[in-house]
Amino acid sequence: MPDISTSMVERRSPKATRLLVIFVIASLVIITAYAREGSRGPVHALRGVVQTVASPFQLVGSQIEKPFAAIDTFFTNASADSATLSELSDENSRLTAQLAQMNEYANENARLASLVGLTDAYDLSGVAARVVATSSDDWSDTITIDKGSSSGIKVDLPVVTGGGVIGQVVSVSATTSVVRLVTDPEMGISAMLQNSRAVGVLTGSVDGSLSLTYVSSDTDVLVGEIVVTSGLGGVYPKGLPIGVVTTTTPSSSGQYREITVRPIWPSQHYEEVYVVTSYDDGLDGTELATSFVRDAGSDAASAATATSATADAQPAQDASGQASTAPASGTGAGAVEADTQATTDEQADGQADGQTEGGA
Amino acid sequence: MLADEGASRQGSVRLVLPCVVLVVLQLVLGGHLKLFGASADFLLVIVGLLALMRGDVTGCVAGFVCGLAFDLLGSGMVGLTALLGSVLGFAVGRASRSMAEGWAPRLALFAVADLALNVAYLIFLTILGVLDVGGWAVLGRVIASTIADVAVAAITFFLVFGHPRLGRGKRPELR
Repeated sequence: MPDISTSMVERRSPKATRLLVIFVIASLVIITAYAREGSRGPVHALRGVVQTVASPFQLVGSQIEKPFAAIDTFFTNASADSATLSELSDENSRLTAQLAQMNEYANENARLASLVGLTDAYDLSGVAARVVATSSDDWSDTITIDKGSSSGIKVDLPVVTGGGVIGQVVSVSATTSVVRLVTDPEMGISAMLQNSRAVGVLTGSVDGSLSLTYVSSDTDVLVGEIVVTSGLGGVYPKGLPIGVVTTTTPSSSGQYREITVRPIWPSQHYEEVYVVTSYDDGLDGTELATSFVRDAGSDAASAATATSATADAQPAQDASGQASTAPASGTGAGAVEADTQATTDEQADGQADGQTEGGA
Repeated sequence: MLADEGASRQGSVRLVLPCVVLVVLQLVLGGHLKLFGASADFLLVIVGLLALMRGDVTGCVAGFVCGLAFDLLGSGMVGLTALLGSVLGFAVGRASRSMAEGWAPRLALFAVADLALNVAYLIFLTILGVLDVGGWAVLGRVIASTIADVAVAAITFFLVFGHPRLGRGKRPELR
């Protein structure tokens, strides 16, 4: 009598193994085609079709998410003043829920105002869009927005928020687009340190931090220094803020510095974005960046204080009147905290002694 | 004979229904629901479910199809999840032959396979120069991703295999 398990392996394995080999080869062919073809290749086109089909579901998902965000805000408010809330009646609870909703609207209004301020200041033209989804795979950092080729969006266009650059469009369907964020491990942007003017390549990582590479070790880099787009490569307008230096040390090789940069806005806070379709090539917005980094990361009061400090150090900026175009949104995104803000202002005042870690 | 046909149809419905629900969840919640910063791959749970219920051939096909769909829905390299998904479906389907009854052992098998898939994905991305394998952040992402997948699989497997009648769903036949 034949052994059942042996018989089973003999009868079933060849088919399954053949299928596995076929699928492995097919996958490798697809990977190769994807890597070699341009953004208009068949695999990219197929992805566009699939994402167009999926976009209504993603819109439903974003709508489902909204009430939970409001509930989150409600509980945050409730925990902030529990002694008072314990005495509230059902009527008060209802009003609190309404207040939470109003806060959502107020925050949205502040974000949009900040976005308009940035696009006006840098003379950017483009399309405003809402974020409907974030990346579903855990190894990339992307967002999906609710505007696509039907709204004039194309691959490679830069995307900004009220705080500065957040990424670049990598795929477009008719009604949606996928934006690869600056924090994505595959992303690389030509960036520049605002004060030292040193140019490097800003790359993302899995943990959401940014690294500025290829900056020479003899460059003086300050913690809190603002990193802006360099304008090289022709994709991003020059001088748009990207992040703030958090650490800087000489690399093990000694040739370059290892610079860690914190993005201005955490990616989970993106809700409305602006896809830049055209901009003034001749504009160098580097000097404008300070005000937008401040607005993105501090509340209105601290922003006002910092503005007065910077005004002393940068009279030319005020003379141009450009800084005043940036609204004090007070969104409190938290990307640039008070300590960093203080460092930036001190740096502007010429009090940078001792802040350079590791020396030049 | 009619009873057999009815049972077969009922079994198919019980297999198709969770798959449809998981597909819808992937489309609607895929980019929104995060556990420890990681998204659950609902499609991979389908692969595990089909492989455990139908064996290596179905698992392999499901792995390729679901993996390709996941790649096309996301923003990463197209074809990589399809490659790893077909291997996962094959391996889980093969290993399920000697699997004990119940949802917990099957979940354990899926968890091991899912962890292996995430590590393999990481290695591929490192070879391709997309990621740097070093650092706790990467390891943390692998673990978080696996936990998210296993959490969804635990609910699904409990509902499918934990049910006294569903648990006897169609398995690979020994001829």
